[in-house]
Order: sequence, then structure tokens, then C-alpha cells
Amino acid sequence: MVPPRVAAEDELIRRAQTGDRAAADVLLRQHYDRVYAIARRITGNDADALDATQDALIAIVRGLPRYDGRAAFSTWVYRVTTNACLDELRRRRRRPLPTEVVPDALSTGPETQWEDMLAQRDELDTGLMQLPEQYRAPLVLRDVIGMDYAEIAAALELAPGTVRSRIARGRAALANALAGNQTDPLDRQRERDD
Amino acid sequence: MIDEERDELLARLVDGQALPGDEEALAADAGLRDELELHRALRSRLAIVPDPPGPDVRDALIGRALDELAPVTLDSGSEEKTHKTVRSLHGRRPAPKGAWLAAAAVLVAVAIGLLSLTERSRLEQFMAGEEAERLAVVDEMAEEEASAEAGDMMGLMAEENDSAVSAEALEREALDGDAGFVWPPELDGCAGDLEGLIPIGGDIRFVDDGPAGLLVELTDPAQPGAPRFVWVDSSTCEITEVDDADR
Repeated sequence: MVPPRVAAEDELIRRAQTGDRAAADVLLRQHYDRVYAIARRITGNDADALDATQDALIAIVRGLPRYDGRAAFSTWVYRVTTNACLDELRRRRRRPLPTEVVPDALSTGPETQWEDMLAQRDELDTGLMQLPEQYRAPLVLRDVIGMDYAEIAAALELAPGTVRSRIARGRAALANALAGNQTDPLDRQRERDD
Repeated sequence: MIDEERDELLARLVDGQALPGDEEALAADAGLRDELELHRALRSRLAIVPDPPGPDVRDALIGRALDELAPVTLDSGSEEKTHKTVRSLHGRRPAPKGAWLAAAAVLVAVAIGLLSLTERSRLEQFMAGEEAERLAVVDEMAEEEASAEAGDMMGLMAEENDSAVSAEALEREALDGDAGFVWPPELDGCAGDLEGLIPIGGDIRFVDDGPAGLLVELTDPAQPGAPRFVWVDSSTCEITEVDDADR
């Protein structure tokens, strides 16, 4: 028997696919927070996250008629969102960096909890931005959204083994970046073993 | 353990998907335990996402996205629901019903005009074809007439004369109410008086005219060779018997 919640979502999807604005509105609101979270973590700043969120929402609406139900709707939504974010990153490379990301801010000592939080946020964003996109996307889907490896593999159209490997390497690289070590984690590992 | 294996072991431990032997490897490696703690802390930090912008921004983003919704035919929507969809898609009210009716009337008028032009063209083509056919028949008749012999032509002329007489008789019948006589203009008003004089089966012939009347010969089949002559005064329609000597 199909759980009522899934049945309700299926009905919403069916109505949205036939042009029902109210149904599409409900679907977008259900996934909005996670869409924004993915965008925020992949793009690394609020302004680009908003642009990527808008692009993702539009891509979801435009792609609704093509959603065939083979993957979970949420998996499909996050795949569309990830692609929108990566597109936004490619566009961003062609324009100046926003002033929001200021790595130099880390050099000034935080004096309050608020400033400390902002500093950590900037630090994390900076660390994520140093990750190659192929590591960043699966890491965000795993650690920010909480998707399991199979879902991430479906969302990114990768083999599950590749997803596991990229998440592991991404975490190691991010940890390395936050520790102030700019070398590749594999290099650091070799140095430690020596 | 190679580096890639070490990273994957850490990932499994962080994600709670440890395989048999992973815990033993962790227990035997203090550095691995430190890294595991680092990765867990990192995951916790990643999970904390800055709050999204306020509801106004959210509503604007979602509203803008919904403007891209494909206007597919609504399965159970009422007219009002359709209008709402149109308003939401285009941000304006749909045209009033009167405007749609006016537009439909214009379209119908244009369609009728086009049909009329087409029909007229077809009719003209048909008429042109008929005229050509008629001319062809006339030409054929002319050729036949040209090739006919003189006797035939005379016969035809006679027939035509007969036809003309018949036509004249019919015309006379229409004018006088009787067949067989052509009343001279001078006797237009005297026809009724003269008709009473014609014997049954007899005939009437206008022999001569004078300054004030006409001499009429009446023949009776019962008395062949003994015609009767009367003088008709054209102004008074007075009829006077005329002896053969007077005539």
C-alpha cells in the first residue's frame, strides 16, 4: 500500500504536471529550504545562492512535465538544483567575486560569538570553494541534505562507488583546507605516514 | 592501508556504515581516530546552513518560477479557474467576454467574405464555360447552315415564316382574344361588331380601304362562291351591306 504522504505528493506532482499552479506552489515550498541549502553550500555566498535557487526553481517548474517518477521526486529536485548551482558557478567565473567572501576576515580575531560564527561561516565557505566541484556536490548532498549514497548516485548520475570515493576525498580535502593546509589530503597522508 | 582506502574508511565511519573490521582498524590507529573526530565535526558544521532569506524573498522566487509553469489544459477547471490561471501567468485580467465575441464576429465576417469571393470566382468560371459552350453551339449551327443546300435553306426559311406567323397569331390572340384575324388599325374599335358577322367556319378578308372605312369580304362555307361584302365605317363601326355592283 502506498503511504498517504507519498500518494499526496504523487497527486500534487500529477496536478502540477497538468499546469496546476497551486499544486506546483505546494511542491516548491516543500523543497524550498533544501534547495536553498544546496545552493548556499555549493555557491558559497548568499547572492549567488539566491540566483542559483531562482534558476533551480525555474528549472524544476519547466522540467515538471518531463519528470517520469523513476527516481524519487526529491532526488530529481536535488539533481536539478545541483546542476543549476554548477551552472551558476560557471557563470560566476566570468564575473568578479562578490565582496561577501573575504578570506582576509579570518586574520582578524573574532571578539564576539556573532563574529565568531560569521568567521566560521566564511571559513567553511572558503574551504568549500577550494574543493573541486566533483567533490563539493556529493559532499553537500551527503552532509547538508543527508541523502544516502544511492540517492546521491541517482541524483548526480554516478556509480555508487564513485560517490563514496568522492565524498571521502572531499571530506579529507575540506578538513585539510580548514586546518590551514593547502596541500592535497593525499599528500598530507603520505607525509604523516612517513 | 592506502590513502584512498583510509578516506573511504573514514567516510563509512562518519556515515555510520562501518563494515566488519572497520572498528578494529579504528581502534588500532590513533591518528585515524583524530581524523574521524575532525570529519564528524566538519559534517556537523556543514549541516548548519545559513537561514534562507525571509518569506518575501521566498514568495518572490517561487512566484517567478511558477510564471514558467506550462499553460496546459486544465482537466477539471471551471472558467473562473482558467481565468485565474491566465491572470497568474500573465499578470493581467483576461479580455472581457464581449471582446472575444467581437473578435469571433470579425473572424466569421472575414471567413464569409473569403467564401463569397471564392464562390463568385467559381460562378464566373462556370458562366465563362457556359458562354464558351453556347458560342461553340452557335458556331456549329452556323457551319451547318452554311453547308446546307438552298432548298433546305428555303425550307428553313418557310419554317421560320411559319414560326413567325404562329408567333404573330399568338400575339394577335393575346391582343384580340381570338385567333385567325388581324384587325387593321382602322377597325380596332369595331372587332366586336365584325366578329358577329363571320359565319361558322367562314372567313373574313379585308379587301380595300377608303378614306372613312374598309370593305370586308365574308365567306360562308355553306355558300361557296357567294361571298358577302360589307363596308365598315372606321369612325362609327357602322356596317353597311355592299352589293357586288356597288363594290
